[in-house]
Amino acid sequence: MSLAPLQADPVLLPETIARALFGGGDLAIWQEALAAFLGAFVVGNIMLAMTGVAGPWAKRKITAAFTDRIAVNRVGPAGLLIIVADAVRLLGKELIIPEGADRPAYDLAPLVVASSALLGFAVIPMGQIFGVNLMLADPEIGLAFVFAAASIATLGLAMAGYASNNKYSLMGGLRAIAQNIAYEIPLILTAASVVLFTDTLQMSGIVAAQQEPLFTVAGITIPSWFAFVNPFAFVLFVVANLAEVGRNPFDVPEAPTEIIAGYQTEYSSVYFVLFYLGEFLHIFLGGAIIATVFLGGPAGPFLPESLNFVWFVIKIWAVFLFTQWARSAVPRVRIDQLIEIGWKGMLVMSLANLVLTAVIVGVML
Amino acid sequence: MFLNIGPHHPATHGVLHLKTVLDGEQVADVEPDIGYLHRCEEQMCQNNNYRHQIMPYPDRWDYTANLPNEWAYARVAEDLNDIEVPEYAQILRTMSVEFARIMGHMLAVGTFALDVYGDFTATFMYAIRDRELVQNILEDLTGQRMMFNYFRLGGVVWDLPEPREEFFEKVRDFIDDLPEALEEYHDLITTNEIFQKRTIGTGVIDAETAKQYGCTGPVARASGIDYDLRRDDPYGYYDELDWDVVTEDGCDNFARLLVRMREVEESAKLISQCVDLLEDWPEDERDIQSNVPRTLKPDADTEVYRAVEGAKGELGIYVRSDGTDKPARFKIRSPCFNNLHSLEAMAQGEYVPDLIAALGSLDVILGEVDR
Amino acid sequence: MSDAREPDSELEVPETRETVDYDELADLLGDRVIRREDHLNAGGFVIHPGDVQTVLRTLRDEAGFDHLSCLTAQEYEDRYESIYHLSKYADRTQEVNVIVPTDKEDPWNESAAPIYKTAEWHEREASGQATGRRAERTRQSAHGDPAEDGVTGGRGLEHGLGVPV
Repeated sequence: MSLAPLQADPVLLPETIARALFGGGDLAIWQEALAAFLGAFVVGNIMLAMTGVAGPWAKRKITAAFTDRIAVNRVGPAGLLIIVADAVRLLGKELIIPEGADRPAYDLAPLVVASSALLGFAVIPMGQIFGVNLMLADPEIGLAFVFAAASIATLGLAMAGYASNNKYSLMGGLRAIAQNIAYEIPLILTAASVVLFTDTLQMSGIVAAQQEPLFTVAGITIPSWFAFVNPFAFVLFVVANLAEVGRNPFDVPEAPTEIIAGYQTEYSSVYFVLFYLGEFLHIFLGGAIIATVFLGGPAGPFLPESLNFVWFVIKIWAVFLFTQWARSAVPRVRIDQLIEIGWKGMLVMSLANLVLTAVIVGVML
Repeated sequence: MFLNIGPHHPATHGVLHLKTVLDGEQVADVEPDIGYLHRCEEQMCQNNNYRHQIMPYPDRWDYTANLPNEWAYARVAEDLNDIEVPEYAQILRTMSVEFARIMGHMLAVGTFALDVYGDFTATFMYAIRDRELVQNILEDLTGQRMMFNYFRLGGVVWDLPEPREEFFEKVRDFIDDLPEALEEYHDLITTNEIFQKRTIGTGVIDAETAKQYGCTGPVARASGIDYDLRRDDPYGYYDELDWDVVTEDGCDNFARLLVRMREVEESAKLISQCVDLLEDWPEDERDIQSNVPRTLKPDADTEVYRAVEGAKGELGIYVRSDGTDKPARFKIRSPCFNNLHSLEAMAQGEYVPDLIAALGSLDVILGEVDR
Repeated sequence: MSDAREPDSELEVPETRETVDYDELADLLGDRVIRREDHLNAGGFVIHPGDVQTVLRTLRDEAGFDHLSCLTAQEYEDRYESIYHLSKYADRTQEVNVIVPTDKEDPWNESAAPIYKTAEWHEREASGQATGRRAERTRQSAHGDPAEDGVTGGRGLEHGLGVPV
């Protein structure tokens, strides 16, 4: 069984939309902008539907399965209508703004957190659905852009922590900054080791580089996904990603039993929803990066290439499942231990990984 | 930085207020501010008669492991009024109290895991599941799931539920499954390296300091103090049964957790021996209560202080009589009160997460601290 | 039973503990003992409120009573009274009560906190219970107010322990 090779130069989503709306040929700038906007709208909504609607319900069910419970089962079939109830509940709550909050920063923080993650999805090759390629843009600096966009969230967390006028929020914000600095570097160094193989930061290039068969065992071809090529880097990346999205064992910025809810202690109603959404989006963005960089992007067996978006969704949900598993079963490390693991463990290992990869790539290729 | 941890905080196990002074993330000083759950329990006991009216109140002190509290009152009142308890009732008491101890320890393990893991953890749900099994058994025995009110002066209120075989089978099933369940906890918690990193060597209190703070129960035993009233000041049927006092030398959060988990095993040992005894007890000698006068009026100015080993430690009651059927002074010595006091010694210089973990490992029940 | 202490064949029989030689303790304390009392659980010594530290230190260091199990405060018509229930970690059956009566108009007694750390909290609670009046409490520093007796190490009564008064 072999994998269908991806189209060499797929048509991006805005272009598809533009062709459908305005036909081929040269487009005016407003036509391009409208098409891009519509494309972003579609992709954004797909992600929001996954994170905002399916996410919370799935999270309930998954966590319940891990902890020997049943979870929601009364509201609608399998408790599905809880999504509606949740939405009404969260949006219907009063928005309480603490006295002494630093207003513009306080209001902007949730927006920054949520939008930074959405921004990251712009360059993720999500595969095709009925032949339509769900990719908004494919710049040459794709991978760097994703990390840059995702790290903006830290700014949001710092703003929230500082602007809430609450000591717990402040501690949460400070912890978030310390954690993100400590784990961003190993994350990017590990990703850089993949770039050494691919020779490009372009996301489509990274995906394309993983389509060659690696070896064949008992008739099954293992593709050269970087998770198979360099499992050590994969593990490092997954761990660093856990810290990036703030899930156990690295959920110290929130640490409900220690600092209540960290930076989001003082947020309620719509602002809280934005934070909540932002967190989910970040987990999914983390999943998307892992899928793209290490798991061959949207590629997968059985399905035709025109439907490989399904594989992409399965991969990011697998990562989501993993974070929930970690959350249910792994204790939280202490803040000093977290920093220690980050600087003394992860950084050293990711550097070693980078150097080793560089040597191997230099000698062999 | 001064930080109020509580009274509304996810990890204060009820309503406790810790006035904390932080140096960075480290605790420079911590002072518990208690009293949010004060319900005048001592006063209420002083307003009620010995014979029937006081017994429901002890259930409200340590409400996670209620039955030992009932025994604390039963012991002091029976000593005061010179009441004998039939041997059969002593076995029933011993068995039910050990079940309650398992209940308390399960909740302690579960909430401790919450404190260290964060919410949504498997351990907490597992612990609650096992606690529910015990509650089912105690519901069969007493008719209640929480406020058991099972003890009476001179015995207990009911014999085992009929058919007895069914009850014994249920108990034995539970006891047989327990080692496997405990193994699960060890797999989930104690063998986890991150967990060990978090708990070993944190919240340390050495034996001498623990004695200074009057620590008792699992907290003292985890500091290597071999002290257990069930053995050292025998009551009930404990001195007839084969069991061990569990001690650990770690003095830290981990040791306190281990002591609780091992004590669950000891309690199971005690229960299975009690069940064997109860099963073979001749039918015509099943006295569940001795003859106790309708009204109890101990001599005026008799003073007595008696303690039992509750799930959290030494639970003592002082009673002074004034010749009426109500106590003139009723004073409760709560183990949680003393154990909570020792938090300041454990948390000094530790990180906030370890302060929370130490608090969890003390297993304080605010209902008992504040009374 | 893991170790062989005296077998208690009769269960739950009230008895004054015979394991402690109270005469010996009385000799040890000498003339600090105003009067002896007999409680159902143990013998007791009535002492002067100013002698608390000396007596408790003697009992702890020379007689081995290293466990302040409980501190009861109560109100009589003519006096307040604090009872220190002492015991031993090594042998819980050995108990002794130290009874400290104090004047109603000027309730005061020396703090036990330098001898038993746990007394800090017990005395704070007791000071509220004995008087039953909040106004009295600030003055009733007897129990653990460093401002007045300078011994309890920085924990004033103004913190209060939630004892309803």
